[in-house]
Amino acid sequence: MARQRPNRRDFLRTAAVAGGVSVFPAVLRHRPSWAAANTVPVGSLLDKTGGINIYGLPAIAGTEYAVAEINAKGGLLGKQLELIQYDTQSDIANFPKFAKKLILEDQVAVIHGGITSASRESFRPVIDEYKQLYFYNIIYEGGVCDKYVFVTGETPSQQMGPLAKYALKKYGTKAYTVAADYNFGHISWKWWDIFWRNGGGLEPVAGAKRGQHVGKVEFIPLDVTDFNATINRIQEAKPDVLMSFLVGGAHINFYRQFAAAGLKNKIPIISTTFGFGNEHIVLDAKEVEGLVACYPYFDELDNAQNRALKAGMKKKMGNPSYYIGDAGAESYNGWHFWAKGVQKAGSFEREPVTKALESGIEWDSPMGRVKMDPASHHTIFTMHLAAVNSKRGWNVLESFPNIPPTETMQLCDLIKNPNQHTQYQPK
Amino acid sequence: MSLDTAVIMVLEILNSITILVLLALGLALIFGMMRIVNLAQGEFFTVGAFTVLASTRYAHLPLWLGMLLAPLVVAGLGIAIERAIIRRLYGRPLDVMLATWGVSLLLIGLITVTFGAVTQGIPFALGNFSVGRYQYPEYRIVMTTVAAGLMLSVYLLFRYTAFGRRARATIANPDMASAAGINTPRMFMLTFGLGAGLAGAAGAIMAPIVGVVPTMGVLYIARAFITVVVGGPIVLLGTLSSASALGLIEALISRFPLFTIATAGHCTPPPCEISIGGSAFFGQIALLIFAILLLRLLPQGISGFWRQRQ
Amino acid sequence: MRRVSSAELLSALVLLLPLLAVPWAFKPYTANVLAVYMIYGLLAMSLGLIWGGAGIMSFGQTAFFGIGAYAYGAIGLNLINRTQQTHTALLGGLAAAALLAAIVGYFMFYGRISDVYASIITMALTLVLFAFAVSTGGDEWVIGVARLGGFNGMFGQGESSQNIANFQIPPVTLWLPGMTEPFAFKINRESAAGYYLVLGVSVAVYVLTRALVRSRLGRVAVAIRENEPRVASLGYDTRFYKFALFTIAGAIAGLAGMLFAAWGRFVNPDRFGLAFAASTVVYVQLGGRASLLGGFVGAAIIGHLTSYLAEVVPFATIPPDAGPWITFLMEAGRRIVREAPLLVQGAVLVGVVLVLKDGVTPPLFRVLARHRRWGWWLLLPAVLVYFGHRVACQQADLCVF
Repeated sequence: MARQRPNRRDFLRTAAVAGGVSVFPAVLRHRPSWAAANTVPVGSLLDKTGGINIYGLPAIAGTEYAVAEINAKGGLLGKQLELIQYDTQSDIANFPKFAKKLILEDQVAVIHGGITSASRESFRPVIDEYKQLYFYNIIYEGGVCDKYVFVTGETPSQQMGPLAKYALKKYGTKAYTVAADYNFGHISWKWWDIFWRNGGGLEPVAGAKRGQHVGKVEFIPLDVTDFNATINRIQEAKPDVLMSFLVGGAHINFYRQFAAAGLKNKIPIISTTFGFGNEHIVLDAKEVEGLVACYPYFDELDNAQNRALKAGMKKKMGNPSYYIGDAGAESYNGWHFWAKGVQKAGSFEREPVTKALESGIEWDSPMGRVKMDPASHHTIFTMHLAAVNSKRGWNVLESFPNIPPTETMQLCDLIKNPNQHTQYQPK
Repeated sequence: MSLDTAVIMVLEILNSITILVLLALGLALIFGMMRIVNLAQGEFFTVGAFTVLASTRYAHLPLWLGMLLAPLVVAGLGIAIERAIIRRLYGRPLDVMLATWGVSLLLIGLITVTFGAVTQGIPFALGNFSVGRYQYPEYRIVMTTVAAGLMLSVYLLFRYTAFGRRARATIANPDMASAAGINTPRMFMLTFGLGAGLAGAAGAIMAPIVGVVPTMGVLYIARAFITVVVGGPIVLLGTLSSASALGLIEALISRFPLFTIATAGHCTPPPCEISIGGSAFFGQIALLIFAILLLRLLPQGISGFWRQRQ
Repeated sequence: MRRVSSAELLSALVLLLPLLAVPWAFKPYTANVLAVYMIYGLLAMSLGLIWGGAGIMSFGQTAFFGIGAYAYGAIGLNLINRTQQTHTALLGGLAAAALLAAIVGYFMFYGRISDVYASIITMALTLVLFAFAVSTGGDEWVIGVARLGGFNGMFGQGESSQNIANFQIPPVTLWLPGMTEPFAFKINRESAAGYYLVLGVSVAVYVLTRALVRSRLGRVAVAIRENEPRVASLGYDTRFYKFALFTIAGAIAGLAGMLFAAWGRFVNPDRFGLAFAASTVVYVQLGGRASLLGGFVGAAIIGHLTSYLAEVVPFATIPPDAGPWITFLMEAGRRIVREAPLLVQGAVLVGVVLVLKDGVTPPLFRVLARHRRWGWWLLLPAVLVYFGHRVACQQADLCVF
């Protein structure tokens, strides 16, 4: 339990004092004092309820598991971590609010969390204003370049390079693109345009076929559930392959309607987002079997760390078929990256920890080898290309070690120019 | 435009109209006959969809049985809500609206508590047919047929049965009907239950093509209301005519770009321009703007205008 | 002009003194949260003004709130780097909200659209704006350097050679003649200026609105609420009175929106969304629409309740040795509490309509007015002592809780 609940008498007394109005938020709070205790408060902001919780719940599971694991091994620098979580309820306005609370009132050593780019951008100004160490542990559109921010999620270049090469070799050169209509989709499209036309790289790849687009890229609002017209336009364009940047609960229907229109076996789909919200479990295997995606983590990965993580998570969740997913594993990794930084720095303070992380921390995670890139504060992954199988799982087709977030690295050097607090995007 | 494209266009328009009719029919009944703005109608739709989900996934019933069950469950729910809440508020239209909005939020909350906030799907088996270069799902034709069937049944019910006659009498003049021995509270209750049941049926029919999620009703409620308000006081005729007009506008604007506005952004590929029309979003915007303009011209809705002309 | 009664003076003191002391008595987070409750309260008050005043139930106050916020953001982002102040942005935001309210009001009231239809139209309006704002994620949706940003919300795009670097909406910044440098209203460890700005604006708007309600316009509006045909037959142009009140309320909502954008330094489409529209109505319902303060009271109660629930309960853990029934009950309880914000709002809407028609504020004030002797001798000293203690211990850094 994160907080002691006030008793009724406290409530009545305070209500009486305050005339029933507005001043009681902080009065009711019963806070332990940190200085004397042998615990360190750490914060997490994730959506436990509301529409985004399909991503929030796995991330919360990964967070709780990682913190418990660190504490079970004796904590950090002799102190136990006290995890303070606030449910941001899928409401963007809650992020800056609770970020301020974590910083000003709970005085946490680090904040992890944020799911959509919208949520991250809503409280990054708060992070910057108070110079707070912050970890963003989820797939996103790339380009965040901020001295106080570390990113342990994958970016477009890490997924799109392998996907573009695979699709050009296997399917053909004509691609049609559908994308979620918000920043993530729009910026993903810009990177995809570059990668696809260059044959899988930011610069033209020697000897590779060049991709081309058929039809116009289609941006679909997050609440659209009827894809009839879109599917007809795809049929008109006759692409060799369909790239999907669709996101969220409503967009899952696209795959079902696409299959229902009999296109599943005619036009193969590749995606940077499919499976991330456990779409492959929600949908019937018949509807999406063979769809190809590229992530740093799949539960199916076979290594010692992942076996341990899977066993532990299944026990924690009390569910023998629990699926960790990319979001859960990245949250797990984010906390461990931070813990390694703290251990190396011998301190919980932001500056030494940042310096330690900028020394290029590298370790064997359940995803395989991962490394923090010092200049961009982004993670270098081993990426895995996988296809949905007939059992609502993935068959890993191929693995690519040492894939850097090229698009962000080429723009962002926080060692040379540390005073950056921005997000870059391609022009 | 080639022939197959034209046929697909017609099918898309038909599909838009079908969805609007399904959404609006129950609401039109409740609003048109009882003058109640029922903001919980979207959640009746949701409950219908979840009934199908629960009966196929957890009780392992066949899909068609779940779909038959849904309107009955939702009609029961509607009757319970009418007895518990709405009955106390007749004659206070704003309060009814607020109370049903409260019911709507409560229902979303309770469904989420029970089923979770995750979007769930209902797989179905029907195939598709070819129109020239296109494949079109058969299920959408089934939907249109069912929507037509529902409208016809409602017509027959109100036109030719004793219940229908009493209901119409109650609506026309409650005091007189009551004096003539009709149990008017009962008629209101049944009408409300029927309207709720129709929403449940709509939710059940649409469940396989849309994701089933506790907040799904919210996505549709505004369009349903717009259709009803534009339709005006004559329930069936109004719903059909306004659904046709709005569905046509929505389908056409969703498909065809009208014009573009150049802006100074950095677009891929250049040039940077805002295309008005040609997407689902502009389809919905066009529907709403058209509706507001129409209401300024015809405050009584389409069927109210016809009635005045006669 | 009526004299201020002693009960009113007492309530003003009991409310205002603590609010003035908050930045001194608590950590900055409290001032931050209270500022946003006051902003929502201001929005709710604008709804209370037309709903309680003229009987027009508008779902669309959030539309004017959002327009105010977006207009302030767009102008502020474009001008802040050039002029170092946000004067134009403040005027522009207010004008945009008032203009939109005037257009909508004209359509509704001069089209003689009745009350329930007006609610539906305002709801459609805010939903149209929501759908519009959400779909502006593309690069083409740009006003000068202000990107509308779709779902992500508005941001400024700074130019450099090969890429775009983002920057945020500015806080309220004044640079009046005679000032040596611009002054930004922020709330942080160093300054509570932003909090006092919101408090000052709220009090000023409240006082002005109260005067408005007691003016000729306000009294005619109440008469319209009670019996519109009779007012019309007395020769009043009821359409104009409704139109004027609606426009003023829209401007107040827009003002709240600007403060919100400046407070959080961001604005996103959720401000137009149905959930936000719902909570605004709930604030007014719960607080009571007969009193202009009702919206503030409702916003504070619901705001505090939701954040309390969000902070504490969803993360309570079930003991591992609990039996199946305990586990089931705790899991059920936890799920219910998790959805509590929605359930609470729903219950408030239904409950207030059925049971507590006036909301909580009028009864509270009645109690205060009846027992004002107790108030002067007990409540006020208690408030003074408590806050004196808080200020002293906070400033000496000795607060235990």
